[in-house]
Amino acid sequence: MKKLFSLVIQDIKILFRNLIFYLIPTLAVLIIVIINWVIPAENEIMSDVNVYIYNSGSNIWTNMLMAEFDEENFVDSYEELKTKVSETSQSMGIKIEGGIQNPSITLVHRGTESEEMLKLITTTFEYIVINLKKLPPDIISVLEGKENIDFNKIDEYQDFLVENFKGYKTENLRSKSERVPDNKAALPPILILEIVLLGLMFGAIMIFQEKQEGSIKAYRITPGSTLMYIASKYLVNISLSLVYGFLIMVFTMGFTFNYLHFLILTLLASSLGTLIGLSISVFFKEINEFLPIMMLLLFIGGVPAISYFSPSFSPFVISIIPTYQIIFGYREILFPTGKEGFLLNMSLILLVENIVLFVISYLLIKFKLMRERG
Amino acid sequence: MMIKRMYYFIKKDIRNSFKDSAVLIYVLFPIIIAIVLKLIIPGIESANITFVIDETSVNKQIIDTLDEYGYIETYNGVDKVKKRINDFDDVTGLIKENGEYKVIYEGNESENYTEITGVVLNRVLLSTEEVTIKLENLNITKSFIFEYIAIIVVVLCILFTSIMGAFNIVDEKEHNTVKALGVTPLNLMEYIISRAIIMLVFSTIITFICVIIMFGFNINYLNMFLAIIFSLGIGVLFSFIVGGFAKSEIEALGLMKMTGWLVSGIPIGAIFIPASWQWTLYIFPNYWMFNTIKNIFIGPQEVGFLLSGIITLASSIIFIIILMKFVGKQLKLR
Repeated sequence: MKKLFSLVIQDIKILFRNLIFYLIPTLAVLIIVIINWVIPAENEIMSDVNVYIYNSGSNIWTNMLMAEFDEENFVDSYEELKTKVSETSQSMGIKIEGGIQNPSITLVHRGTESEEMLKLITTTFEYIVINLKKLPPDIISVLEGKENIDFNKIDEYQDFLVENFKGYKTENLRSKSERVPDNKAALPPILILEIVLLGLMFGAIMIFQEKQEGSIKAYRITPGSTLMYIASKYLVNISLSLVYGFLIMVFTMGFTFNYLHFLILTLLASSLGTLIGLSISVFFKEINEFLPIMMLLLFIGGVPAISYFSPSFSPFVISIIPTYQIIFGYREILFPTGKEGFLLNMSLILLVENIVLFVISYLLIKFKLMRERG
Repeated sequence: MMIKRMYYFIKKDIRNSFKDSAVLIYVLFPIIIAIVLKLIIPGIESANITFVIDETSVNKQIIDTLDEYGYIETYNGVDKVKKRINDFDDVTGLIKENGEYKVIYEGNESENYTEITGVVLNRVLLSTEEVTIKLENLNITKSFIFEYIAIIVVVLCILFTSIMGAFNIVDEKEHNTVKALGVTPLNLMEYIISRAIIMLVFSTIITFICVIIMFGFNINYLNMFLAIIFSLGIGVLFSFIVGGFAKSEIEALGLMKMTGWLVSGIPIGAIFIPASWQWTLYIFPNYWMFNTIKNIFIGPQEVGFLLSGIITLASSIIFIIILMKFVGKQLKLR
């Protein structure tokens, strides 16, 4: 234990000497500020497509669509419609002619949409047209009128249509979860990039510092074992990750989630990063050579964030990246939806991954790092 | 004479850079990112509803029709469908129970997602009525997500070359090369300009390759080159903050991590911060760098390309002048 303790102190000193201990609180403050005060709770960039409407048909279309869109969405000519769609990214135009029974609807799009996306959008309009035809005559005459449109009545009938003209029943496996504010939703990817992958960086930093100073050569002739060598770096990194993680979470999420679950996941995840960092750094002489590989690993580790922000996009090649399950694990811990058993399953998988990586890093450090000359 | 001194310094630095394989990876890495993003982004942008269907109860005609709207995964039985729905991604389950269709969600899907899938399912399950919606394609090839990601990639290209510069500076300090430079006629200004020229060369090569991969030749490359020149100040600034203050490569890594957040975080933040709050970022030269590049990829902005570029360069020069008062002492050049 005494030997392990002195190794831990040595590793802590390495991190101190290289400003790392100042890095942690500085970054934590930066992230806390960004989450709480920079990223808005509802950001405009992810909001709906800008829709522009040109109606040269029945008033009913304008009156119906006024319930959903503002005056600025309506234009006075087809040319203006095309200009607006051309100049505005993430936009679409609707040109309407005719009445309810025989409408002529043209969807003006920018050309960047996929076939499936266009199919979805045209289906939405087909659905609107079909349902409008089902409206009772009294509502149609209200909608055709130019004044005193009672939008509450339209909302009532929209609800009526939704309930009575649905082709199916709905079941939610768990109760519908509340919308997560966009700023807090950014936390899981940040936790991956900062905490999990920090271990990757720090593990490597310690090894390179020791290579530079020649401490590894000195260690070889001590009674200390490879296991103890790894354990000290492991302990320092895990502790740093936990402190970093808790600092961020306390000042962004408060005590609104289960910290024990968070502790378990962070422990396993940051341990994975540390072991990867230790394993790979063995192959490089200087940190300058390791840096691009580290960035590549950071990039790969961060790719699951795409699936996180776009949950319907989860190709197999992304789902097999270890950080994929970790990012969704953090999501479930911070914003619980009642997913039973997931933490246990994920912890077991991560534990197995950690064991495999530990064996690999042990063998690499024992048979390569400890036997290196120069 | 000044040009000759700078030329020899640049030649030395480029030769040193190619001594190890790291520079190759620095150059390749943004290119790899560009290729990967080019492959992934169309997948994200396309509608990708996944329907998870119980093939034992839902008839084939419905399955075939839904295939036109997204991906289909079929399973043998309701339990398997529900198990699949419990995975992390968003999918829509469809089964038939007692003659009625039932749609199953996990419960954590966004409202937008359930609305869209609801519309599709109603259309497919409920009505066979023919409705013709015409399409008019304006053939504008720039895509929304791709535009912003391309801007971030260009920022990263410039950042990478400045990281290379930073580590070269640290290397010079560690090997006392900088002391040797101190007794040469090369002064601090020439040192900075030489570093800037090296960054310009590497940034241009890497950025152009990345942008060609992502956009082909549909971009104004003259403006792209000008944007890189305007952004050089930021590259130099980052390079000297990290290289100037770090005493070792390891310290440089730590400083890089800290300052990297500011350099890349400001442009990313500019995407998400509401327009009414953008003024809080005006003090940062990399905000204006982002705006300059945005003018190229997205189109004319409120502050145009040339003005944004000039502000980028001017503001970064001001920061460099302030920084040099501290870093100059570290480097001990004339």
